[in-house]
Amino acid sequence: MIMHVDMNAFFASVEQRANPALRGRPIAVTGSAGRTVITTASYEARAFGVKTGMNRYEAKKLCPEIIFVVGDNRKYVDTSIRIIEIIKQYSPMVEVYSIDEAFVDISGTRALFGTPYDMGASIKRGIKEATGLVCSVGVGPNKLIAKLAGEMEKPDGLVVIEESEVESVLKELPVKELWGIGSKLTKHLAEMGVRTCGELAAFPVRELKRRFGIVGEKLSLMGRGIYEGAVVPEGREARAKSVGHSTTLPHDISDLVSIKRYLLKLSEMVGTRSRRHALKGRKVTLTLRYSDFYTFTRQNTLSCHTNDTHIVYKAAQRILSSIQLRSPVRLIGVTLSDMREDETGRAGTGACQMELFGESDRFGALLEAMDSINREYGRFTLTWGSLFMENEASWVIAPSWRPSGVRRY
Amino acid sequence: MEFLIEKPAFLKTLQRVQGIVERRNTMPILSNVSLSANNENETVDFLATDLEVFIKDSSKAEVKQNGSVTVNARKLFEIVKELPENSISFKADQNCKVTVKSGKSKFNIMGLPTKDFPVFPVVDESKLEKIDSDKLKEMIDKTAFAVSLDETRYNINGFLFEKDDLITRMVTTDGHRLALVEEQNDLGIGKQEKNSVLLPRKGMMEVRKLLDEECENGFFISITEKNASMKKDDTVINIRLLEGEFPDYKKVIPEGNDREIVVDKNQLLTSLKRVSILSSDKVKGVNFKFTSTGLILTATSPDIGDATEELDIEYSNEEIEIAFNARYMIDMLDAIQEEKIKITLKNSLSPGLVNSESGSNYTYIVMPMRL
Repeated sequence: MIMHVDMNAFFASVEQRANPALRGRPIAVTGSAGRTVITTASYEARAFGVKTGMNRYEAKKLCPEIIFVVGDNRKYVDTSIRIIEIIKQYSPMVEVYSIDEAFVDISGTRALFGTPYDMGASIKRGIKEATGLVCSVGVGPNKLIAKLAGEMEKPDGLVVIEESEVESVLKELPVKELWGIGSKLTKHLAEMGVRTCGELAAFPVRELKRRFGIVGEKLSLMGRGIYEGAVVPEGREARAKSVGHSTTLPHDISDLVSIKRYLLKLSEMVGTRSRRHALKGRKVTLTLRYSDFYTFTRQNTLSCHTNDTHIVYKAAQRILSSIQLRSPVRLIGVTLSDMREDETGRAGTGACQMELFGESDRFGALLEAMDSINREYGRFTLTWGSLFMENEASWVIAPSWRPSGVRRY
Repeated sequence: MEFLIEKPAFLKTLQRVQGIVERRNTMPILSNVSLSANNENETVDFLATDLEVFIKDSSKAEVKQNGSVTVNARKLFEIVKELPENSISFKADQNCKVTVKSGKSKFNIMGLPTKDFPVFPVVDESKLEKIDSDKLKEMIDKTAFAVSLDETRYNINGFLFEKDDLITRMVTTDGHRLALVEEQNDLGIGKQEKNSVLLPRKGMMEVRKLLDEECENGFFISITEKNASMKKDDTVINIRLLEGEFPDYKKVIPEGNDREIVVDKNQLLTSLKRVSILSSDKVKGVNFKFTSTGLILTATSPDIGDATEELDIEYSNEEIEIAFNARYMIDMLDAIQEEKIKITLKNSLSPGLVNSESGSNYTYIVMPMRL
């Protein structure tokens, strides 16, 4: 059996625990920049229709009394780590899915902790005692059903779906409730006359495969509540596929000099994190969002793997120079992918072609020195001159952030 | 406008100009070739451009009515290529509707008026000087392969062409290797405005094609502040010079490479082509081990296998091992005529230097790989 633990309105709840004046009030956690979006709204705010991703103005319109709280990532990380420690007392097989979500494999723990229901209740109690926070726990024969069970009661839920119940639960369930079926897929399925999981299960696999390719087969299985993905405990994950950072700018800019400054900062964040985890990537992706929210990416594949800030920056800059900006830019992102482990443990080098005019070797040594100083004294203590003048913009925590692993700063 | 023209002449001229035509289609008219017929000298002038390179050519024709039109170069070329008869009639009406007829075939295509076509830069005929075309051709061939194809590195997307009192020089690089060729004489060009220019790759490749053709009156060149013009018979190519600064190539010419190896060019070339089959596909790394008994080339592809080959060389110093991208070596070996080449090295992480054994005018510098 698999258990899914999902912290309810995590960031908002942490803030409400920390500050009693916020308890019972509609609050929204945001980034620190002037034009940030809401990362989490408390249940009190959700009652007014406030949702993650809205900007302050939209939220205020729906809920005039709303209180905005600037997110404090450190607080969330600390709380998340404490929660994971509690869960780990029940099973070593814990997959930390994001900062506020985890999957636990509880097969074989019955003798120790009783039925899944008892165990779920016990975990909920443990978390509540230690942190004061509530969560929704779902249990099912696999991750898909566990997640579904977890979604069924919010907040503070505890739902167990036994294998024998799966079919009846899914029969009338709209497909969009299933984990991994988004609005686009839902629309495609609706066009084919598939609205519920029961219909999905009954739909000919051949047709689904024809329409969706390899995913079609998986969809059919999902319709029957079958899901193969196992719980992957920490340390056994596949290597990070990419390392990326993005930021919404304090105001829209079209000035290339400023855009490049952000590129450098993002490249430095990507470079530092890749170096910390001894990873090198070969593909650099630039993400841009225009002021009208039109978002697009462009990629550039390098001749060799790197985690050198400057090489990443130059690649991002090259991509930028190939784009004719049609409107001011709202969000910028830099991602390094096509990763492999850095066998030398040093920045900038590795098995690759050396540069004729390049100074990559000297840069490697420079980056190493910078990294060690910044590890000691904090991020951006020692940084590039062109970043020096900039006011600290907000760096909003990403939803896929995990308290450990590559994503940890 | 209306003219009658022979297929071979039409085809040849179209082929020449359509190489320039803009393919990215940023401005529709740049996909077109401009034709203007003139009955005074019974010629049709052809113009094509991508705004970086302009080409002008002309062809004899029986002009029935003066006029001009622009029409899609690619399509016109394809049509003319397939026309059944030798005699072709070309007609354009007031609305730029073009009719091409030959035998029983008839094609109607829509053109655009020439008034919207970019103006060909004025070439000052008095500035044109006759250049030694064989030497120019040789210089291009020995350096063209090293030009960077990375369009964002515009300052190395072409040939550095410079001259001082005694020497004419051409240099290219892609950041990993550098090719440099020097001619002791001035090739016949002495009174140009600028002594050091960056000639873009695309334009020079068109010039190179032109240099391959028979030439009656010689090949002329003129270099001004912003442009380089080349003229051969009726064909004129005008190239907008690259702006930007070519890297300081003198700085990277290695000094103190004291390990000197002499090797037969063809042997090295054929061995490298074989061995590199098993170098890993992305970066064609081949390991060179120079010993007093010979050169051992090895390549390893983790998923497939490995290859080794031994060659005779003239070398008497300590053993040295270095890795190069086989492609970089093969490109150079393919481009030069010499029978024997001289490779000089310092250590496995310093640039290798290649010259012809006789120490002639050619220098090739290649950075090693870290394998």
